[in-house]
Amino acid sequence: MDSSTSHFSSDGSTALGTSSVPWWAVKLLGVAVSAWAVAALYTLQGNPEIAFFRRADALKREWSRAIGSGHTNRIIVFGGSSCLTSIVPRRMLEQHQLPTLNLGLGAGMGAQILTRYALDAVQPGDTLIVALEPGLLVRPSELEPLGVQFAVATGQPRLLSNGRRVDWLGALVGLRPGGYHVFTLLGKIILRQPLYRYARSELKEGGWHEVAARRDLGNPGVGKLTLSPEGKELLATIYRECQRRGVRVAYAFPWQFCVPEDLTATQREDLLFVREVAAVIPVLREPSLGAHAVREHFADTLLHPIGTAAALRTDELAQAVASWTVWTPEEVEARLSAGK
Amino acid sequence: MNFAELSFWEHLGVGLAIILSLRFVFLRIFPGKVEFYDKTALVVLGLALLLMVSVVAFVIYIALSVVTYVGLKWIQSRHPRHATKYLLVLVPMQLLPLFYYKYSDFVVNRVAGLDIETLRNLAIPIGISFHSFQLVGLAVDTLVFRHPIPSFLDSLIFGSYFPQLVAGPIERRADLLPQVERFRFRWRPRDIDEGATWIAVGLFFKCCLADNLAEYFHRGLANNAYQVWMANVLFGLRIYYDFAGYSLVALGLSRCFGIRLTLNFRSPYCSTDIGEFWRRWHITLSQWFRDYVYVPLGGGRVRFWALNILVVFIISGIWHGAGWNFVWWGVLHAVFLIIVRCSGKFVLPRPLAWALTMVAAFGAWLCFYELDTSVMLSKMAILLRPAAYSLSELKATMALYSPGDKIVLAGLGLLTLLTLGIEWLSVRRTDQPYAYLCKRPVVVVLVILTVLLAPGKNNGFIYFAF
Repeated sequence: MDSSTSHFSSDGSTALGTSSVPWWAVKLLGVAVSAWAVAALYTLQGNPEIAFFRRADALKREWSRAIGSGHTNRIIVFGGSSCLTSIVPRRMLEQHQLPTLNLGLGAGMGAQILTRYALDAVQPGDTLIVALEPGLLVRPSELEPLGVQFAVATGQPRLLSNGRRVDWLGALVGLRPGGYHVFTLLGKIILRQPLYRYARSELKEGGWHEVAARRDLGNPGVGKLTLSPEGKELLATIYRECQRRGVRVAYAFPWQFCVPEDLTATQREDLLFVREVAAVIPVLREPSLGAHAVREHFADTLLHPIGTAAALRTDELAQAVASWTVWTPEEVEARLSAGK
Repeated sequence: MNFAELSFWEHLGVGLAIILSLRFVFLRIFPGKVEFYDKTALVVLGLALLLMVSVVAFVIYIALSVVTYVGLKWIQSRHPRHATKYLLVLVPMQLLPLFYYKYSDFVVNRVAGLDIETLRNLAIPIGISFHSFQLVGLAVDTLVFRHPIPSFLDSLIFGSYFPQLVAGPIERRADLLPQVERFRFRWRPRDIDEGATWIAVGLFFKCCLADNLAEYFHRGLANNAYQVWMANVLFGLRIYYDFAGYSLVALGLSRCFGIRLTLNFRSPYCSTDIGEFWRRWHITLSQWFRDYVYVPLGGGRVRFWALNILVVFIISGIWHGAGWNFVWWGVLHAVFLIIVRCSGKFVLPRPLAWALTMVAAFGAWLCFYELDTSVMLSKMAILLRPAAYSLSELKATMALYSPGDKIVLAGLGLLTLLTLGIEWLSVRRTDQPYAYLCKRPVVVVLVILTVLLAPGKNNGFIYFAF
């Protein structure tokens, strides 16, 4: 038996008393609870990312109320930040007469929370456009801390339920910043940069985000996409839920930047992904097939269009929704064969 | 039975509340049966926690325990003079489930080239490698050293003691069984205080360091030496803090119940030769292989000692997983150890010896995480090619990380270095690894850091897969 714990008795600073209460353990628990309380307070009140998404949520609710009074059969688009930055609700309404809610938030919240957020809003007769980033559908999905924090901060704990009972304790424990947030925050403070790269003033009417930041995008290359079992199950669940509730539903490929030389190859990879997705849920047939090769049309990431490009993306989606043309298996195969 | 998940602590709390409430009633009715109640309750608690994780693991564990106990009874009562010979029957029976779930696909399909579909993708029951080895140890120690067979209840606790059931430490009969035989549910404030410290340090290792490092470890198709080294270092640090963290929580939790477990790690990255590394890394497994494989083969006193080392490390590699990469990992470590042994009295300056040991240990992690042998060999070739260390390759590696990632990696790197530095100080000044990390003011800081920095995901333990 190893006696490596002997320093407990030999070291004055860790000497243990003979009390009938394990005071040291109690104090440690107290330290943990206090640290958590401070972390939770920061998360709910001070975290600039959460504050940004709270503002986005408020604007979306405001817009929903505004269009809700005069319109039925709304278009509800949801996804991560590519959706948040791509679809302009006012343009959908005024240019295309499509009363639209952009329920895009941040991909960091995870597919589960984003989906529940949208499903909570749909009503019979609505059209639901699933614009989840492929990245969310090709890996196992889990409840992401940012999503948990958003759900609690906006008073929507039902977003955590995922059809089961809400894990309240887990949700409360999740109200902590985490290593990535703390380290980047410290880095920004040291480098005297803004605490969050996006300002709340970038959020426009309807909760659409017009990105002000710009960054060199480099050459992203062509990636292979394969639907994960969890992604497939999520899409199937969305489809079933929409069928049950009388909601029309389809998947729309988010726009992503690729260099012009890779456009054909990227669209071919995207089409292979469409083939997988279309086996579960209808996929809107859009000419871009998720690839957009104009570098100047993107802001700070491959998935964030600038304002003018968001208008183009909005128009493309509006036309696809209005005509409701979806890929058939035969068309996908024919297109793939033609591209060989 | 994941200590990093809140659900484990919820289940444990509920289980203990039920056990202690029933104990109160039971002892009023059967005042003389406290030993029976406490031991039975501990078995039920351990098995219930295992059942919540995996039904298959639960069934296998019960079968293994029954086979071990009945086998020992039968051998000692019917063939006491030839007990050790019958080990040759009992031990393979104990290892049969382990072989089936972990190695049958590798041996039958990949080595023998047969194509048996049913053996593919068998899910390895959690903890099977650990409790199989612990029960083999119990059988060998009992029969070879002619110890009395423990009661069935004690042998069940010995194998199902929940803090160490799924990922060790692999305890020996002489260490754990006497404590099990004396076990009672008692209120031990001193033990709880000591246990809480180990749990706090363990959770810091696991949730704060390992889980954050996991975010940045990408096996990928690294094609330059810096990327491969980056992956090796991240993996090496992650697996250490993951497994050592688990072991420390197990040790602390067990301490709260009044049972001392063996410290499974002793700051291995403070080692100055590869032999020392193995005396500090996964100690209970190393001791198991030493006592049950290396020594019976003749140990280091025979002419073919180098072959013995090679055999032990190949088996150790295969214990970790069924794949040629694990064989390579074992072979590499055996070669390193043989070189150190052959170098005899040739002593390197301490910093240089430490640096070489770390290059060897972290370099070998490539064979551990890269399951595709051809990719592993090509990456190994990259590491050995001087041209792969050019400035442009370094720039290419740096470009893989966003500014935010670089800041986080720098912060994590600093925190990890600080922790390693404190471990090093503890080893150098007190020869007690983690002594300074267990100082009360330090533990308070660790608790705060864990609460603030734990990412709340990637919290599966790597060694659960073994």
